[in-house]
Amino acid sequence: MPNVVIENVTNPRVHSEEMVLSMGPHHPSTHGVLRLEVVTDGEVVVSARPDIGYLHRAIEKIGEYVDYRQFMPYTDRVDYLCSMNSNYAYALAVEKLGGYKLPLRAELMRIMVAELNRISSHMICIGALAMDMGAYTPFLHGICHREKVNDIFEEVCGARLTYNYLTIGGVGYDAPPGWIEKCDKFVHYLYPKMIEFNDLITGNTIFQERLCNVGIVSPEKAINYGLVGPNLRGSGVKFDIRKNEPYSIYDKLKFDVPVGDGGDPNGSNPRGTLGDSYDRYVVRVKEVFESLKILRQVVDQMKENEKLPAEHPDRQYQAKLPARLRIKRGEVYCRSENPRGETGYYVASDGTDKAMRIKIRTGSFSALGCFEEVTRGLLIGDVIAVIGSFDIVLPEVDR
Amino acid sequence: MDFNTIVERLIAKWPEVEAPKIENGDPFAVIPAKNTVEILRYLKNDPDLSFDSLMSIAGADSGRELWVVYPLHSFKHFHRFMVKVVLPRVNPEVESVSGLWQMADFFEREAYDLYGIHFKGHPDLRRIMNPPDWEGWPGRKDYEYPMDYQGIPTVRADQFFDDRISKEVGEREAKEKELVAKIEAEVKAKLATAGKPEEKK
Repeated sequence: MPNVVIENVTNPRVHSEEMVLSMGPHHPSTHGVLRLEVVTDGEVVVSARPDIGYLHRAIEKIGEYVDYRQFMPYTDRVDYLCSMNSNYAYALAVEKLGGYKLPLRAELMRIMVAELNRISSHMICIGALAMDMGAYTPFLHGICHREKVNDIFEEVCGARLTYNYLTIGGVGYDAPPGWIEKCDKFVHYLYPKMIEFNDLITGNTIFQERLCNVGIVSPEKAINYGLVGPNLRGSGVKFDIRKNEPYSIYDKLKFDVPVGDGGDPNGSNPRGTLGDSYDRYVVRVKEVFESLKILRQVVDQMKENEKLPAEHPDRQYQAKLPARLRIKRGEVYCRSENPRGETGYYVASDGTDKAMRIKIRTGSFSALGCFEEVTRGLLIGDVIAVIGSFDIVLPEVDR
Repeated sequence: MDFNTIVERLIAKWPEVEAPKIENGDPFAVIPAKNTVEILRYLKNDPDLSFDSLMSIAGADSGRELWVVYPLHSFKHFHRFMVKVVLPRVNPEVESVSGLWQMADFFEREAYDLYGIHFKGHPDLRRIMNPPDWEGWPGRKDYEYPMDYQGIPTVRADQFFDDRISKEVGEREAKEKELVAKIEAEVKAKLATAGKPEEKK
């Protein structure tokens, strides 16, 4: 230890030293059991290495011991903030491998719950990001809107967090009477509320100051680091799996793909740079509006569907599949658009009723992969902003 | 560009590349382990192919051999391709692709952690999910779950197949059966006595 005498700041005998700061595993701003090994030089981050694995439950290994249908509840636990989308990704992979076809009503119900869950997941993300930046009220607004979605889900499947609603070949239960009108009412409820939310926080100067020009990811870097979903689109890459590799009936629905436009004087982020934290935040807010647009179309289609006679094949909510699924030898990599980006299921079958290997590729895992690179040279307070803007959910990272 | 054209191009350059006939699922090409980085660099940098995005890296254990699967995607041409490397169970080694795609860093660490696949040239090959002193490769089919970790038992003593517990359960079940039989007998007797006056009528 050198003899430090703090008499004068410009004194050449004063040394600065690097210090290791262990942030987590239960730091309130790390969004779960994430530990960051931060090497700091004063207030500046030299390197921030994520240390993960605190929530490792070997879900992929469990998939090799249970059959295809029994694995569905485990996919809820992969990402608890958007269980419906996690269910959806797994069901899509198995249906693609088995070559199963679905009735129209099942597809509509699936898209409806998936978009509702996307909204509720984004509510948590943008609310928690605002809370990390010191604004408490937007989080309560987010939670309040999420409760309405949870009520809708409770009515259709009985659960409020881990739904286990989608099954292979359809959905678990048909829509109860009056449910579609409830969804319609929710869409009309949320639209003005989101505009109010925007007035409250999106245009807030303090909020913008904290996020603009922080944690910049250029488009090339985003592709190379495997960022997906809103994080990728925040960097200005216009790619959405619902649009570019459409699954289900997404190709018949009309919606836009919002991308980040930092630095554009006429855009939503004139002060910032392309790919900064504010861009990633704005993309999520815009996506909520796009999801509302999709929901409105699907609600109309559902109302049409209700008029069909009960025996009509398009009116069924489940496809008729054998009681025990035996899928031919083969492997598939199937991906779908989740709130946290691409969720890819690599499912390999060896001809029995159990999968030989299930590998889950999640958006948060690759977002943490580029974390060290993005946070280099930032201030410690900005590290929290970057975590929040990447929307990391730890069960999804550790699986 | 479709799958067969890409495979033909690869076979023209590397004759060892195979494309097995499949009945189900996505098509894939099996490439030799020693040329992995060479072939993947060609797939990434060739202007007609330009697979600039590596979607995932999945290690797998088929029971006989280990696999590393690389699903690729191109943001320029919007086409997909899947590449597989087959490795032996003893000393599986393949070159790291983290120099081509940075995202491979974490995914290769995961494959190393779960399957013990050694990625040559990886900057920081450590365990990622399990603690650093964990033994064995948990993803493999022949992995046996350890009964303790650093002297801490991982399985509760009364959790599985404990003689004492099964004995207690057996006794309780026997008692319940006796009770049920007793109640049934009582009910029958009651019914018999209650039924007699009705017969008289």
